[in-house]
Amino acid sequence: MIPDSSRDPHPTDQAADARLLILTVVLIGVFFAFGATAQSMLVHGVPAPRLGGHALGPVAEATLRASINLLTVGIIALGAAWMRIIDRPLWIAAACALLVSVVAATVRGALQLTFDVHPVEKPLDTLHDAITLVPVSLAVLGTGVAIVALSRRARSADRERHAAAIRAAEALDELQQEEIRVRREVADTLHGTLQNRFVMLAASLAESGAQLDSGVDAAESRVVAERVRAVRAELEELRERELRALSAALYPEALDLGLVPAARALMARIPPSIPVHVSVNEVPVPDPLDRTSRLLLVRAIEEGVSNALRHGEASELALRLEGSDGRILAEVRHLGAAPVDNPELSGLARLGGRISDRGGELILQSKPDGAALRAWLPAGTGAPA
Amino acid sequence: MTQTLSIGVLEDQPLFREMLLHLLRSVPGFTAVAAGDCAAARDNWDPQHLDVALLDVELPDGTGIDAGRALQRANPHLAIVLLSAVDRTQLLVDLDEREQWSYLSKNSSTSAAKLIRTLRAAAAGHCIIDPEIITSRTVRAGGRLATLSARHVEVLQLVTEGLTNQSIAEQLGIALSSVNNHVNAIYASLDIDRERCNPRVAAARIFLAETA
Repeated sequence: MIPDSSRDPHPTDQAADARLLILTVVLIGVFFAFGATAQSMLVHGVPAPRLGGHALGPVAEATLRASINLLTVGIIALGAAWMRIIDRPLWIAAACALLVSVVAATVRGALQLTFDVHPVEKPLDTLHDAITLVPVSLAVLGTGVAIVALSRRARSADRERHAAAIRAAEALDELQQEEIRVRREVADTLHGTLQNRFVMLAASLAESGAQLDSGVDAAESRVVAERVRAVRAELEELRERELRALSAALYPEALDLGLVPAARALMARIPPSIPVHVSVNEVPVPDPLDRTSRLLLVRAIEEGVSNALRHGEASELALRLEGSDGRILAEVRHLGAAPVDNPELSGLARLGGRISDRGGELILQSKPDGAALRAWLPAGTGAPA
Repeated sequence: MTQTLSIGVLEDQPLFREMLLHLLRSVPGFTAVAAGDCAAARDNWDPQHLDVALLDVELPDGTGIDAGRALQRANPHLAIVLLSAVDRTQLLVDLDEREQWSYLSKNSSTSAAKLIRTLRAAAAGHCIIDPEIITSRTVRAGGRLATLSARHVEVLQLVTEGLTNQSIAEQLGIALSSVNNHVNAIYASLDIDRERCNPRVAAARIFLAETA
């Protein structure tokens, strides 16, 4: 009956809602109970003699009538809570409320008759009282249900805010983790591969220097010159491959120039022995992505390429960039091994989470002859960076 | 006769910008203006009075590509020469075939003489790509280029550099008719429709797209 963000409310929430309903009904009901008591004392006065010929004093009479009314309120409140009218569809809830009201009116009428609340010469007064009680009870229950509904909405909004705050904190955490991962990767490469190669190059140059110091003939001179040329070639290769790769790990090449240039720069780094096909369809120039979305798509392409090369034994790679239906799609398809049953997908999962946070999706599809990693993001996620 | 050329230099590094400006102004017949970012070029240059724009690719407030396009919208006859410290020739692959832009690398052995030659050639309607970038490339497996013979790849490299058939013949020491035959065979292999586009530019784009 009451809209709630969760389809199946948590038992704790249900209990809290039931308590709120009882409290609301009791508070309003008590007001009516004392009001009705005062009204009946003023209208009917204190009948005498009664209760076996003994007349009651005004205080005892008022207490009796108020007790009957309070008991009636209790029946309405507990009956409504027991029948869980706040969790039922509208018409069932209305029927339950009517049933509870009729039962409460009947019990009250029976008690009034038992204790001769109304003058014996006016027996129909009890019936009138009972008939009047039903709409009053329905109004009180309706008010109680409305207050519970408002409370649920407020709770739902509060939880949504809380969930959004948690999502934001998680996104920040993921970003920091990603930064740490990249820093570690760069540090490992600098410390490991690059340092070793620089040590070897320095040794080679030192040897050449020592040879020149000790004097060389024409033949040895050629050997030294050849060694220096080799060092130069390796330095050039280090600059071209390793330093560019490190730089790209920190910030993809050509990212500021647009998605297509960044994607092409990335694909150009794949060894030329592997066939690579790039197709670009309907991607606006400049592309309508903000820097973060563009970075995420480039990271997705990078992930698809590195997984294909590392785990997929790729024999051929194809990149498709496409703009359609207000989305920008990047798909890396590789021919080679299909993804294994339990691939190390933590990187993909992290990336997928960040992409879905921005309203997109990352899907890895296994194919008989390889795999396809498809990422899309809504176009126009911000001003072009 | 001295060729007069008006050149716009868009370069964000002040020292390099000043050196370029100084060099270009020292060439007889050349006039040059300079800007450090896209906004300054937009505000201070009159594209109608420029023959060639020499543009750095990565700029503080945009890209040389965007700046070049904006300038060419104002003056379709303006020649564009991109100049970059890193190999960004991939950018040329996605240009419209009418955008016959030239490209020089700051890292290569680009000399003052070579820069001036390139600016003159670009102004004359040629599309020049830095030879050092071209020769450092390897043909990627599986593409159309992989079906060409070694000789055809060699000729295509020279076409991509912006050389005329006559210059290619001189460089390779073969007859002009042989070069013509090679070039026609390359166009056929790469499925280039000579009626619909500038075949030399189309061949150069394929070379850039299918090499690494």
